[in-house]
Amino acid sequence: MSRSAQRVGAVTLLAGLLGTLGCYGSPEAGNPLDDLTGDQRDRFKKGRVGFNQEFTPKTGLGPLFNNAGCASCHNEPVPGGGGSFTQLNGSVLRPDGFCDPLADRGGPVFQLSVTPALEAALGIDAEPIPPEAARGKRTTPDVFGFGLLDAVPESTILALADPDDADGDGVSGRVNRFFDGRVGRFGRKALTPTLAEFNEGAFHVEQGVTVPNFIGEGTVGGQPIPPGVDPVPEPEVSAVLVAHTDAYVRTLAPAKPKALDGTAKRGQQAFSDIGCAKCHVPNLRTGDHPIQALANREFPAYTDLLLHDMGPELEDICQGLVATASEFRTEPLMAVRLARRYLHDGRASSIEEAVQLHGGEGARSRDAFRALSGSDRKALLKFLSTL
Amino acid sequence: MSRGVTPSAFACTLAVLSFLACGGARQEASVPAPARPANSTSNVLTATCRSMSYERGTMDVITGLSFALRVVTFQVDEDTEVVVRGERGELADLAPGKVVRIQYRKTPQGNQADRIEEVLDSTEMR
Repeated sequence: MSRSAQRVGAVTLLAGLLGTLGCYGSPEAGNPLDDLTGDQRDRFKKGRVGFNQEFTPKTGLGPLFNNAGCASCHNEPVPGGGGSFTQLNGSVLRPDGFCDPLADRGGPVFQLSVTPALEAALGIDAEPIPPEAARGKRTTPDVFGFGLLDAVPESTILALADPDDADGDGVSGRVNRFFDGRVGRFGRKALTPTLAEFNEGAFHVEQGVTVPNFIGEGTVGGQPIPPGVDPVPEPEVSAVLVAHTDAYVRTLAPAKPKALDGTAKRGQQAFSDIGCAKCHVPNLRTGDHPIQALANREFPAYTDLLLHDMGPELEDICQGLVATASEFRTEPLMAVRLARRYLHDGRASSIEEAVQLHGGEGARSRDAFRALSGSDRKALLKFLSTL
Repeated sequence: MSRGVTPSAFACTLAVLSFLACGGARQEASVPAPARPANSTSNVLTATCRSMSYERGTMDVITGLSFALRVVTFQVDEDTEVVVRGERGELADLAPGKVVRIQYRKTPQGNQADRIEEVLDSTEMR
């Protein structure tokens, strides 16, 4: 082979490698869990197709929706990752103390897009949100490792709770509850009890695609969908597709933390010393699980799945039976290095800014962070950039 | 309470319903089995009480799948059995925000609640 042909071959190989990375993004996330069986890997692959599917009005999209498919939002740096799309939530705290999710008027998620047929029928380009509603923006989270979070026993979460701050450390932590009383863990305010519900509900809420376990289109601001606007028979997605998509998300591996050098190890110690680890609990352990790869595994969750008061600067809406406007579930820090925006509404453009915006129960740790020496602060941030 | 119900009408209706539901006196004994005929299919839903309309004789609850929520309306009347902490209660005990387990039948008029049991109150949700 001539030297020029060799050069062309090398360039082609390099281009191929770069192209592969370009297509599939970061190789450090988006893979299935290790130790899946062949059948489980097969379901992962089938579910990935469902996750990447984009719906159209002819296949069930809308008439109210936020985006056309799961991966239309969850795509940075790979399917399953976070994204730039920001969702709109609303609720009303009534004088009697009841947090009304505005379910009779389309809440708590108010979709930001409509199909052409609905726009033609009603002349709207988004679901109307009641003027009295408090509003909360929600960025798209990554879903890496969510199967592990789902497999953490409820008893673990309850054991971490300290609603009255009995240990006097200034950090409480309490569970949110869904409308049937079960303990919640998914969503920025821990509304949803299980991953299966989180996944299936997302078809309905985000894509307007009706699912077997929640038949019926919603309403438009409490009014029925106009006749003829959405003629696709219900459910608009099959139980098989829902199950495969759930299997994909459930077995999507968490991004593996990077190895710690000396500086990052010092930052890890500082993370613990200033109290971050009280809420961002470094390791959680799953319980028994039919998927062996999810059973009895310790994993770096960096969350307690509990609600904490984050102070008035961050407050937006109440949600579920417990969460007040200023309470948020401790965000898992799995794959935080892959995020581009931080905090529930994406207001922070860096991890450091997110730390600086902690208030309420996080204020003591925030102040301790500010009091660190410059090198210790950098070390802590370097540690976080390994997660 | 629904909008448009005057306080006097509400109080009057509440008094009548409470009297009918409790036989004129609040009973502290454990609650017997429902008195409804068992010839129709009974369903059960656990959900959160959203509002009670004494005027219409209905209770609205919130249920759903993750963030996909809906309001379901149940008809309540003097035969609807209310259980609070294992004891006979009153419809007025079912305040918004309480988690209730509703035993009901589908009828041509809608969902008829036969038995409503409070399963979680605010003191347990901390």
